[in-house]
Amino acid sequence: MNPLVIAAMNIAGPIILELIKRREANAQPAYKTYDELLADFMATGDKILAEIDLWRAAHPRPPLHDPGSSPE
Amino acid sequence: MTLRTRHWIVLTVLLMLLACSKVPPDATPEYVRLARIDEAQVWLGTLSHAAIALNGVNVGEPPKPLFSTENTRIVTDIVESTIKTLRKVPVSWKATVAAALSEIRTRLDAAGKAKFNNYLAAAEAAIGAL
Repeated sequence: MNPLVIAAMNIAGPIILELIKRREANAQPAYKTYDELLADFMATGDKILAEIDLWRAAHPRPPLHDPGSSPE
Repeated sequence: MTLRTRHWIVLTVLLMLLACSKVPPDATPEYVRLARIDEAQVWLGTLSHAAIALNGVNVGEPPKPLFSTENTRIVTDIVESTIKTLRKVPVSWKATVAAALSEIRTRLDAAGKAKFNNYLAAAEAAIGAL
C-alpha cells in the first residue's frame, strides 16, 4: 500500500475515534457547564502535549553547536 | 499527494466540522470563546499528530521519513508553545492560532511545505470559520 495512504490512515484513525467520542458526548441532551468545558479543554491540551513529549523522547534534539568551536 | 490521501483528509475535515461542540443558546461570551479555543486546539493537535505520524513513515532506499524530523520538530514546538499561550492568554486566541499556522508555513522547508500544505490549509480554513 502507498506509504502516504498508510500515513493518512494512521492520522485519520485516532482523530475519527476522538470525534465520534465528542459527537456522542455532544449528543447528550444537557450542555456542558463552563467548568466541564474547561476540563475537556485542559485534558485535550494535556493529551496533545503528552504525544509531543513522547515523540521528543524518541527524537532528542541534536546538541547545539558551540559557536567558539570548529564545525568539524 | 495521492487522490486517496486527499479523500482521507477531506473525510477527516468533514468529521471534525460535524463534531464541532455545541454551544448553548444562552452561553456567555466566555463560554463561546472557550468552545472556539477548544476546537482550535483540536486542530493544532491534528497538525502535530499528522506531523508525528508522517515522520514515523519511512520511504525510499535508504529509508527516510516521509516528513523530516526537523520539520516535525518545527510543528511540534510551535503547537506546544501555542497551546501553552492559549491557556495563559485566551482572549486573543484567534490571532495566536493564526500566527502559529503562519509560522509553521514559513519555517517548514520546501519538501515539508509540499507535504504539509493540505493539512495547514484545512486548519486555516476551519479556524477562520470559527
